[in-house]
This record gives sequence, C-alpha cells and structure tokens, in this order.
Amino acid sequence: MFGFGNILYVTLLLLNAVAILSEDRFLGRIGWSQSAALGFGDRQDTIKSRILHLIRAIRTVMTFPLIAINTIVIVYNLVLG
Amino acid sequence: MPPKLYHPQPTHAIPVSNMRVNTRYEPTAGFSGTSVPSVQAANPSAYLPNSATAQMGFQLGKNAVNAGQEYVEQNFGKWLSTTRLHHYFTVTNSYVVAKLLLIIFPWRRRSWARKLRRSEINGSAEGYCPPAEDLNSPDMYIPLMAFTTHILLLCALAGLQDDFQPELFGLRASKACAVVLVEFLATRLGCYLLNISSQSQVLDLLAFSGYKFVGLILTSLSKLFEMPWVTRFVFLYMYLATAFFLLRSLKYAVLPESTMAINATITSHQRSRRIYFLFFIAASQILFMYVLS
Repeated sequence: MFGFGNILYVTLLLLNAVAILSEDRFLGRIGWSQSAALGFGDRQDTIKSRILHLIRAIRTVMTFPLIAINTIVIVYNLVLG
Repeated sequence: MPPKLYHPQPTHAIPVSNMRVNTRYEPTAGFSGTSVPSVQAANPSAYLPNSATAQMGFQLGKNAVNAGQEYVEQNFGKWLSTTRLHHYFTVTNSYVVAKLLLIIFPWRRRSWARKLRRSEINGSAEGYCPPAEDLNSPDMYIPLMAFTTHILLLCALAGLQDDFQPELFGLRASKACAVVLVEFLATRLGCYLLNISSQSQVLDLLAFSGYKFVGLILTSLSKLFEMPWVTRFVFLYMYLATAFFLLRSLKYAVLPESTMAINATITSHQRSRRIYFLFFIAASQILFMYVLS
C-alpha cells in the first residue's frame, strides 16, 4: 500500500542510507570527496558538489536524531510489529 | 616514619550548613573569636533568596521567553505566514471557472507569463498579482477542493459498488497525501540540485502539485460509464492536459530569466538541464496519476 506510514519508513531508510556513506572509505574512492569536488575550477554550483554538500549536511544534522528515531522504530517494530 | 604531608591550612571558618548553624553550632577551641560571628552573619544573606537577584532572574527569564517567541514567529513566518497564504486564497468565481477550463483544455492559451504587481509610487515590481487578478497565478483553493472532492468521490464510487468501508476515507487520504509529499520532495530536491531559487517557490510547487486532482476527478467520473476504453481515454487525455499545463505554468519558476531579466548568469548548459527537469516533472505526472486513480 502506498500510504503515509510507508512514506515515513522509506524516508527514514533513505536518510539512513545517506548518513551511512563514509567519506574516507567510499566517497573518496570514487572521487566524490570534497577535495576532488573542489579540484576543477572551484565551481560550487555543479550538481556533484551540491549532492556532496547535501550528503554532508544530512550527516551533520541528522546523525543524533537518526540514532533516536531508529531506536524508537526498532523497539516499536519489535514490540508491536 | 612517613614523610609529612603538607596540606593547605584553612585560615578561616569553613561554612557549615544552615541547619547546623541554627541548631547545634558550637565554636570549637581552634577558631578565633572574630571569625565565628562573621559566619553567622553571612549565612542568612547567602541562603535566603535575595530580592534584587530574583528580580533580575525574573527579568532575564521574561526576556528569554519573548526572544524565543519572536524567533519562532520569524522562522515559521518564513514558511507559513498568513498573509502569504491569503495570497493563494484570493479567488473569484470567474477565476475558478476559467482556471478549471484552462486545466481541462490548456492547448489554445497564448500567454502563460504571470503578471507582476507594480507599486503605485515608482512602478517597481513588488511580487506577483493574486489569483483573482491573474489567471496564470497558482492558487491553493482549486487544489484543496479538488483533493477533498477526489477522496469523497472515490469513496462514493466504492459505495456504488457496495464495497464501502469507513477506513476507505483514511486510506485514500493518506495515499493522496503521500503522493503529494513525494512529488513535492522530488521537485524540491531537483530545484536544490539545479540551484533554482525563486521567491515563494515552496507554496507554488505545493499548489501546482495539487492541480492533477482535477484530472483525477474527471477520470473517476468517467468510470460511471462502465466502459473501460472511455476511462482509459479520459485518463490519457487528462494526463496530457495536466502535463502541458504544468509545463507551461512552471516555466516561470524553473526558468526565471524568461520572465524577469534578473537572472542573467545562467549558462546555456544549465538552461538545457532545467528544461529537461521541467519535462521530467511533467512526464512524471502519469506515474502519480496512475497511482492515485
């Protein structure tokens, strides 16, 4: 069902997926680290640099809220799901 | 013999607790006679609430609460101010009829540019005209009414086929809300990645994502004919009409330099990317409409 609760779950899982991307181990290897993005000409408005900025912003802002929300959802699904 | 430890020697009386001072305090022989009265005199002023300090704390708390309220009002006002919402609901009967006809049959209209409101003093632009004066302006009235009508109509059609349950309202509403939310988030993400920014864009996008419910209502009504090919034809036609309508209406938001000559820094590469994005928005309507119908 394409309902409201599923959208919340999908949003949570996608946020987890973005927050788990490691700068050193994954993004740097495929050339998506901050230094590589700044390498060609210091242009900050390319799509790649904006994606990187978004990933970094999500990781910075959402780390601790995600821990709390994940714990709540896991406990809820264990008890009631 | 262990080495002697050098502790700092207390030179004055150690303050003891209030209760002990009042009940069982007895000066020991080691203390000098002058320090004992000073402890007894200092204790009440230190432990009882000082009126000046309390006043200051009260003032500080009041200031903090006021600042917090102002902060909340400013930040929510940026997203949802009532004056800006009023702008989307200033509609007239003729506007609603004309807009509905425009959504159903958008092919013949020539000018899709929004009217700028000029200030009466110096003629500089100060925002867009409200929907009552400008047919091309997005409103919230038609999307909201179409949204509720769509849900009620789907439930009524289910009732005609004798499989109505009261949960159907909640299911349909949550599905429609989810689709609108997904579309809004996807558009917003695209706008962020393509560095598109124009004024009052958030509510505009929300309004534009609601116009497809008009087409969905007509599709649902065509189910009353009980002929599958009629329903399919109406759905396809309404999809094309909605996509064309969005393509022309969203042009001012996605390609701002076409209406205002402010944004002259857009390169042709960015421009072609934005046009692709516009086509993508319009084309993705078939997915959302199919999910909802």
